[in-house]
Amino acid sequence: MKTKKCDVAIIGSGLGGLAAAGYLTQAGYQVLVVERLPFLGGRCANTHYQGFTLPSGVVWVSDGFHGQLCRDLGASFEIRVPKPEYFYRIRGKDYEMPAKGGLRAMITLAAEEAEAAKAMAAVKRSISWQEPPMSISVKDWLQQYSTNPSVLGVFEVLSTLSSGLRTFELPAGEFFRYLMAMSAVKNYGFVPGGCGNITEAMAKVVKDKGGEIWLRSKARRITQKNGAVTGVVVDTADGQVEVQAKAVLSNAGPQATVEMVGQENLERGYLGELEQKLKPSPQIIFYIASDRPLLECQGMTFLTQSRRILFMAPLTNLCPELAPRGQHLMEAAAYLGNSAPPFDLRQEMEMALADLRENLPGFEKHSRILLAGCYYGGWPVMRCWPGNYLPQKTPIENLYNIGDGTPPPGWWGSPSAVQSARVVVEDVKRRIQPG
Amino acid sequence: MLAILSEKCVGCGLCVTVCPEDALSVWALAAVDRQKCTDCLICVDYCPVEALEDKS
Repeated sequence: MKTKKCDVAIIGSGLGGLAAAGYLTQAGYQVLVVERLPFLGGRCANTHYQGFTLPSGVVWVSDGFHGQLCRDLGASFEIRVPKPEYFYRIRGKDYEMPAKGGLRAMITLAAEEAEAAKAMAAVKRSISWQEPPMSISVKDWLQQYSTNPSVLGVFEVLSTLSSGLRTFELPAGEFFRYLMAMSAVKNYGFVPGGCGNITEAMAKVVKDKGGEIWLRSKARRITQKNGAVTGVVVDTADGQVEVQAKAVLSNAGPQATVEMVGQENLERGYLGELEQKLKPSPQIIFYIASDRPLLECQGMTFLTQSRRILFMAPLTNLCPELAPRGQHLMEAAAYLGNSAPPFDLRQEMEMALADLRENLPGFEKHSRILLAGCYYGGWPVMRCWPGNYLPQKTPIENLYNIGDGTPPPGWWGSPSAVQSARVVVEDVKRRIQPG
Repeated sequence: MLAILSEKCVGCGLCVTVCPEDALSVWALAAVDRQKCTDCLICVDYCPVEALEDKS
């Protein structure tokens, strides 16, 4: 078997894997990223279909976060921030949200004055004094102060957007940690060539600094000796390669990591914790092509009282590059009735379609569904429900998980993958010297 | 011959976008149009959850 030496081997080229690779190469580590699929970026990649550029997952990014990540790494990055960034459709009317104090504005629009004041006071107390417990759901927490369905709708949007979880599934404590974490994640927008351009730019920086990225290379087995990781065996087109590394970072999800290590090599307590807590969250996505814009806005329109649809984003209003000339592309996302299987996906999709017919004038006459996809299982919104808090470290020394299966508290969606990578990179730097 | 493992497929639709023959579709689950499929198996490589297989 061929061998290959590096400081750090990274399994998976998702946003988390590439962020770790970027920070580590910058710090002088020899890094090898192995990716099973023929393309880079995982759920932050582009795919092309009938002349349209579609995302493999991530669609909405933040200049304050993803932009900062790219600036940290020296990767080139273009984002267009819509004006206004978003509208909330409350009782059939669209309201533009201010950049600051959006939550207050939404609650004030959704409820009567006294009820809104009561809910806002509770929100304020949860931020400035103490977050609510983890044992109560967002919905149950909120209903202590307001039972107004429009107010609940606002919280439903905030909950499901990045976590994939409904308000009755998400711990209230975690929701407020998220609000705090997200206060740094500002200026949301779209990438003109698709979000895959971010991971492509990050990969270029990694390679420019001497890192390697192998596509079509499946990590078969993670090797260890005396409880410490020694590397990973990789299937490539040229046969198996034994990669020797001082640390291995798995961006393939905690379950895949277990399979690569072998259950027999892991503590029962750790396996039990994964079995109990590792739950992916779902979402349904529609890509809709039309011969005219279906909405006038540039950013997202969030629905607060729908059956299933969470947002509608007329992507080409701001980024016409994503569609063939003269055509338009919209993405609409829907949550499910609940986030734990079994799902009746066909029924869920029918309910979402009913929302689209109701909320998009001209939907049936002027548009067609290019693709309707579901994210869950092994290709989910998040690999683990926020609030379940799985550790990045595994029982095998110097073997870490990174990505949205092991995010730090309060981090959801694509920023959570990056944030978990940052935590791990700092630990690697403390423990392992490059060279 | 291309086989879809329904217990693994999540219906993400990535295979639909890479099929050169437009033989795949997805609505909660991927489906293949046998009239169009040439068994080139490009989709097998691209499936992120290893739900597509060469069953021969």
